Amino acid sequence: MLFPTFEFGLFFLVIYAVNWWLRDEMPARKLILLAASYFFYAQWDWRFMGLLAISSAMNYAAGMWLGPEVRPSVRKLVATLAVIANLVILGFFKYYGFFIDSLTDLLLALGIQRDLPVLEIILPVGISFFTFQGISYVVDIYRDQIKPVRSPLDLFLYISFFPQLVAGPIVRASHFLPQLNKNPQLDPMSLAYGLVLIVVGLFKKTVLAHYLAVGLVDPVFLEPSEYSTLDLIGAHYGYAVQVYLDFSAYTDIAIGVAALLGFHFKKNFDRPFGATSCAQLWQRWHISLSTFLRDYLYRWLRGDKREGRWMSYRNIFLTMVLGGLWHGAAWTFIIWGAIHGAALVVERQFKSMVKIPKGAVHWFWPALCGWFFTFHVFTLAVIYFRASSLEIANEYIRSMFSWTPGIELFTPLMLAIVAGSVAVQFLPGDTLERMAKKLIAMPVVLLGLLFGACLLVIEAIGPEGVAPFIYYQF
Amino acid sequence: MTKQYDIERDGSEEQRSQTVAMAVRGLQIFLITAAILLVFNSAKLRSAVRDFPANAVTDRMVLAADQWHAWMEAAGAAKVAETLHQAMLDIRDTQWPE
Repeated sequence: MLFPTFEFGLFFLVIYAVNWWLRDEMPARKLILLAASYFFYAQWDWRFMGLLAISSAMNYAAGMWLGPEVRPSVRKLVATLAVIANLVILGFFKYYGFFIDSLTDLLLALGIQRDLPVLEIILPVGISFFTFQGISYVVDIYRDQIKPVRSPLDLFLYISFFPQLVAGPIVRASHFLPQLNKNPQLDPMSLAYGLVLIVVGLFKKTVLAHYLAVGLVDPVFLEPSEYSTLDLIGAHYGYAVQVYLDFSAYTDIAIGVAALLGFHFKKNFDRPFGATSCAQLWQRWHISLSTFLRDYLYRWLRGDKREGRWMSYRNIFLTMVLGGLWHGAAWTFIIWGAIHGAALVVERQFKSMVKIPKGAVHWFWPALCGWFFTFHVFTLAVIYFRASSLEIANEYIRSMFSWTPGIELFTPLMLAIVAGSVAVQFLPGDTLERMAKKLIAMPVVLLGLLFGACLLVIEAIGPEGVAPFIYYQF
Repeated sequence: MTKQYDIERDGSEEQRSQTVAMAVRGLQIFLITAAILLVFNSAKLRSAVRDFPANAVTDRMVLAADQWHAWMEAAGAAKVAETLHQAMLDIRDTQWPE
């Protein structure tokens, strides 16, 4: 069940009404939200409801074993086993095929022919996101940052809550669980902000990202050698913008839907294409994953010691490569992560070597150079992220740098979508909040007409059909 | 620092009545939105209903959605979405000058 569909609209309307009707009946409300979340998940494949339940039960049990009364050595063992178990489940579904193919190739290269067990593994949608939430819950208890929950209902709902279940944002237990034990509230700002986020998210996904995908990116990335240099340049910018629009749209809608149900989620994207350094970009892009990688992977690589400069570079690079590998078992994702890791290291080293004296140049010029570098690292790396193989990615870059005249798919509309989407990133960060504030005082009939008119226009001007969100595959 | 998860009932009656009022306001907004989409986007309703698994109930829903769309077409309401869609297609097909 995709967000921008008639089915989801109907589903949400029912859940919204029941959620507020049961406002004072907390256990019943949680139970309904849990049932709704499992129903939502079952729309992809009902068999994976079991996996979701097993993951939740495992992390609940681990949490109970990590109480403060348990011996430190046992706590360490339980936390380690729980993290390993989470990673094994994730790794089996995500990397089994890649592992078997690579092993077969290696054995063939050594002259050994073996029939390895081949299984048709379907990747359960959202597995990365609910696994990461499970890991963060266990590790945060181990680090004494949160207490284990006593109610399994709370933990099951935390892991499976439908707005963020299949593509994030990765919500931390410390942020979500306390909200389950308060009577939910809906103030005028949350209502207006939720509506604004849903409209903006739907517009980004079903109109802008969809036009870029079907009109430019998909055909060009399928056969890069068939298109002109300008089309290739346009499509690589186009895909960078498409990923942003698509993914940020999902999290906008998720945050909006959660707000309308009385939950608060933190911002997941904060104008990343306005970043003037690679470090800043990752503080603004998929913030919940970046902070997850920082808190659970980088911190683990660093350990408790103070790290030297080269060790920190190694850890940054490894974090980004592993972040790339998380997206999928393919060399293209590893290279994508390595490019970003290398860019972060180069940028850090450059900043430690080059100090511009205050007032020597106007602030604008370093900011412009930083923005140009950051934006183009991102758009070039994204070619590897999008290409179906290393050969296609390399061919794409080769073709982009060898002049072929003409322009076919990078039309004025595509240019307007790309340039417009980048330009709005320079607006103040609270623009949507300010829009929402203006709606608060509006009479309900007018607000209903406005919301309805926005949805009608979005529905009417978007291309036919609904494309799945890009991050569902991760 | 360890966070506690003690049950917190919100204290003020004012907050409670505001929440109820906002929840009702939200419901009213969704119902108005649904009405607008039913009237001006009846083609979408028809295609969504046709995607439901076939059975006696959904067969009747398909007939009702067809009838509803025919009425909206006759009233001219269905033209709004078509006009907007066509305008967007014209923009999409615009090419650079030769």
